[in-house]
Amino acid sequence: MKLVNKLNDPDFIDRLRLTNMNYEAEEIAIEAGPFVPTNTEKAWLFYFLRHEDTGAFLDADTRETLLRLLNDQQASPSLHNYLTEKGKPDIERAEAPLVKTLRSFISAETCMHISYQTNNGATYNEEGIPYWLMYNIAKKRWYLWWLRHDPECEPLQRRRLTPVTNISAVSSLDIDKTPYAEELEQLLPKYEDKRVAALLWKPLYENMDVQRLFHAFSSFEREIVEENGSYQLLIHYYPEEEKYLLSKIRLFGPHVRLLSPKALQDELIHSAKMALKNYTKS
Amino acid sequence: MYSLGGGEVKQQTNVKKRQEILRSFFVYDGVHDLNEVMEMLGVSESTYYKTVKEMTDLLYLDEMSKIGRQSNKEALQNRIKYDPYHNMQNFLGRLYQTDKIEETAMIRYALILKLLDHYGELSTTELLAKLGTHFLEESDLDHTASLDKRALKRYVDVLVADGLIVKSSRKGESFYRVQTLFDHFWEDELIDLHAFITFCTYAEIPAAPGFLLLDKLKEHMLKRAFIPQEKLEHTIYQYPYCGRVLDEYMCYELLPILEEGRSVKMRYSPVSEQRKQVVQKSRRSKELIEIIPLKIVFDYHFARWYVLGSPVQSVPGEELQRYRVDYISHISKGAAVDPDLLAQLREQCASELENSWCVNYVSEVTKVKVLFQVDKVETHGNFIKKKVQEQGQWGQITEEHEDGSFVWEIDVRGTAEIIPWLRSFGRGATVLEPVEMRNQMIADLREVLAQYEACE
Repeated sequence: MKLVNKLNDPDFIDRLRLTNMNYEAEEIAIEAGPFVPTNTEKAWLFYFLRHEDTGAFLDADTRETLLRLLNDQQASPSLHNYLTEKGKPDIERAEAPLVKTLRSFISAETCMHISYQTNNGATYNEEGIPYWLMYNIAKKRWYLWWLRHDPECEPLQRRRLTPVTNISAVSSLDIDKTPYAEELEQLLPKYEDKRVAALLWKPLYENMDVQRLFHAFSSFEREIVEENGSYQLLIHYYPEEEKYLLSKIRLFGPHVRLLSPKALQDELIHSAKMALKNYTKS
Repeated sequence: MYSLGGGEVKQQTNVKKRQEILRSFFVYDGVHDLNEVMEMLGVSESTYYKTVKEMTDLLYLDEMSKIGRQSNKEALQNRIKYDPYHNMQNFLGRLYQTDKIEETAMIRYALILKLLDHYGELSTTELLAKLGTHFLEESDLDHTASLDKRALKRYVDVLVADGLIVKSSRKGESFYRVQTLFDHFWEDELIDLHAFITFCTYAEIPAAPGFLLLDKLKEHMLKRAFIPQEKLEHTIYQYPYCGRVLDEYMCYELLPILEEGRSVKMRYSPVSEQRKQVVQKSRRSKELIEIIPLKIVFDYHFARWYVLGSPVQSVPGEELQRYRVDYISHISKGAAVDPDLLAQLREQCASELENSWCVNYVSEVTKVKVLFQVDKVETHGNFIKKKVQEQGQWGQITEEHEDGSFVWEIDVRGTAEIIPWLRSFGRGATVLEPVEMRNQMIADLREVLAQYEACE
């Protein structure tokens, strides 16, 4: 089981891209490739095909064919035999079939009719175009970014982010998608919208590991500033990431101090006060 | 006693060097210190810059133009910054493409694969004849013309062993063909497969082989099946721990040792020294130790890898040691371990891991009782309850109230690790028992408030 294999050298792969071969002073056209996985890579895929719920991705037929082609990996050593995963969330994957349908709509740029509920229970039946699926790894949940059809309204106001579990049905719609095409580009959150939170590391115990802090926020764009032996973490985040960021900051309790922004700090203080109240009243 | 060959040791040292440089840029963004890294790795300044250049080239591969006027260091730093909407690829996975192949071998392997791909199955004799008459680039002939049957066998054997081609024998002759995988699928299926592998590399562990597979699949789709790139872009992944893939190298190096039930010799920087509030300051002192590795543990809360093992000199029944994978280097195989001892240690390992929230040294089991409260129950259900059920491991809900609040209980070895998770609920979680933990939570909350009052 070689993970680092010389047969994955990019120069070698580059050579396989060639589409001409010379035979007796004549050029013959050949296909690019073959791009063939190594046993380590195949064994890895075989494991996940057998153990993960593939319903959100593969048709049953595709999965069967893959398993048959990879059957020689049956006895390959797997890291999973020696692996314990601590704290892996245990999630029901009820949204799987819809995710697959939505992905095919996005790939084919298909408009859709969508029935969904908001978190407060209101039900909607609308038309629009889906443009990104989003998977939150921490929550293990799927979301759909889509644009509601309404010529009266500015694109940004028609932008929707709906949890896939809240969608009850979608069907493809044969309408002209041209009016949407230009708008889609500008719909994703922009760099310029990012805000910065400054977090000071001030552990109560001398032996606490600062790496844990750096690591915990590694999914955000961040900078570390060192000043007189103490560390400040500048975290760049999109406004919609605020809730997740707050829960991450809370994780570190009294060992960090949020220096800015003020609004986030207020939120943190408020939640600590409420939590303390829960203790004193019970 | 068995040990790794010279080539493997060299590869390990090289990968470790690249891994630590990538890690340093990724984790210590802004405080990446050239001197620290050089000292930790025991390399000169020129090696450091050479490695940075090597990694930058690899990370930009076909997009060298994107480096622009940045220095190699800046370019490297910018490339590995993840942004869910604009910089979505985890380039740290490229670490696994750093092994170089010698030129003659590369030309020979490539031509063998190309010939088998173009002509289909070929016997040794046919393959040898074609190698003498075909070439991809004219200069190849210097490397391929002199191949004889014995030399050819060495090359095809490697390709067979790594699963790129298949060998069959008929009438005393060997036949070879490419072991195709992606060629068996239609465009839609390939798009689905690409989505599945991408998902696994972000959401599952281990992920490193997935990055390699993904790169090949992408090559196949773009260059061989002519599927447009846009069809592969449909999903955004939020909050990945991109850095976790770096440590998988050591895990895979440990795999054959675990399979064979051997001990392992390794260099290790003790955690006690590491836990000071410094960045990498004490990484120089590395002890040479020999342990019997038993389990690899991945902690999802902080995305960290550990190895549980027993030092070879320890006496039966002694507590196992927990090693951080990122502090391990220079591993080599030790002696085979007595099967009875191994079985006994594995059992001990399973029991030490049972009831521990993640990885710690506490043996005493404590009952923790928590009251979870919700602001209001939404139409779609009780989100706090859902989160507790999904993330609360083996804990159980023991009481439920009409207002949506509920009591949750768990028997856990040591309470320190569970506290951060409970804190993440903010006011939603109140510890009822044990009283020491409850008092600790209260003291922590007071401390948090005191901090802000003090700075106002």
